[in-house]
Amino acid sequence: MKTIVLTASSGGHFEQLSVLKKRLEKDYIVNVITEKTQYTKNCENTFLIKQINRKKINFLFTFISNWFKVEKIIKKVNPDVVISIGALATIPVCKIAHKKRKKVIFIESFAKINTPTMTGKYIYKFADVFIVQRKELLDVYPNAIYLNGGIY
Amino acid sequence: MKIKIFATVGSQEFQFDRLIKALDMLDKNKYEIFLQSGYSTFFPKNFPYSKFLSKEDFLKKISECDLIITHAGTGAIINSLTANKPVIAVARLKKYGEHVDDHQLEILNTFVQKNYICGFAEILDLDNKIDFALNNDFATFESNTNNFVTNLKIIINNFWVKCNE
Repeated sequence: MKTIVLTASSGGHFEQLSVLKKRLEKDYIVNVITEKTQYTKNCENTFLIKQINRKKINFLFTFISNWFKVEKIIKKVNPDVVISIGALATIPVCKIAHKKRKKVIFIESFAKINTPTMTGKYIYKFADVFIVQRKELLDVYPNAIYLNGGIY
Repeated sequence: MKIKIFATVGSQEFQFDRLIKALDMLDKNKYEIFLQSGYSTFFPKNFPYSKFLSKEDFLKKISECDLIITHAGTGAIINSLTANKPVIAVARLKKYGEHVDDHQLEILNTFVQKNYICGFAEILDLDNKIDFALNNDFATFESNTNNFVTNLKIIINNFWVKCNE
């Protein structure tokens, strides 16, 4: 069975990840990399990294700290595919996976209707597959795939 | 019989005191409110609250209430729609320090346009809005999850088909 790493930031991104995790677990080995929050503390097959916020003063420090942590996790889990639903916290996961020649699928968040996320714009440059959940975003990401709707 | 309201502001590290203050001003003889308050810094005097809830408790609160009043996060909205409950969503706004940007306004608009929820950004006349939400004939939400996952699996499996060619 192939191994997938699902990764997302906390909040709405993690909610979308949870929907996918439930469905994908039947056919693949699924591990999760997400931000540590009150409600991600006790989840199965889940690796936690620090919650990161680009407006906070310790942003760079947290980003670097997470980067090293994610390198160890990816080495340990050795996934075949990484699927990210954004946001910022998942950049190290996608970049490191890409460097190790793993397949990277990025799903732009359900919440983004007309405008892209900063994370999406960056990962679009190297993802193997880029999926949008809103038809309107195909104008912003011409090489993206739209699956006739969203995760919900 | 009091109207049971479950209010939720999500888990992002921003306050949503504006909504909580509005809820605290509602008639406590008319409404029975429970709030998930997250990182908010204002605490209500007229009803109970908890900062965070487990997924289980969160879904239980949704199933037991008559109406959900939520920040405009897709998770909260979708879970409420899936449970067939009327929803009032209020968008967190950047100008009030409630989120990093105004994407919740975008979310709100798509749900409101399809008549799935009652939604707004500025809180005016909440009592009337509650009355509207309880009596309005909202459209039924249809899930796309099965379709999405089926296609996602095709994409994933295709990686290895290509490798074997």
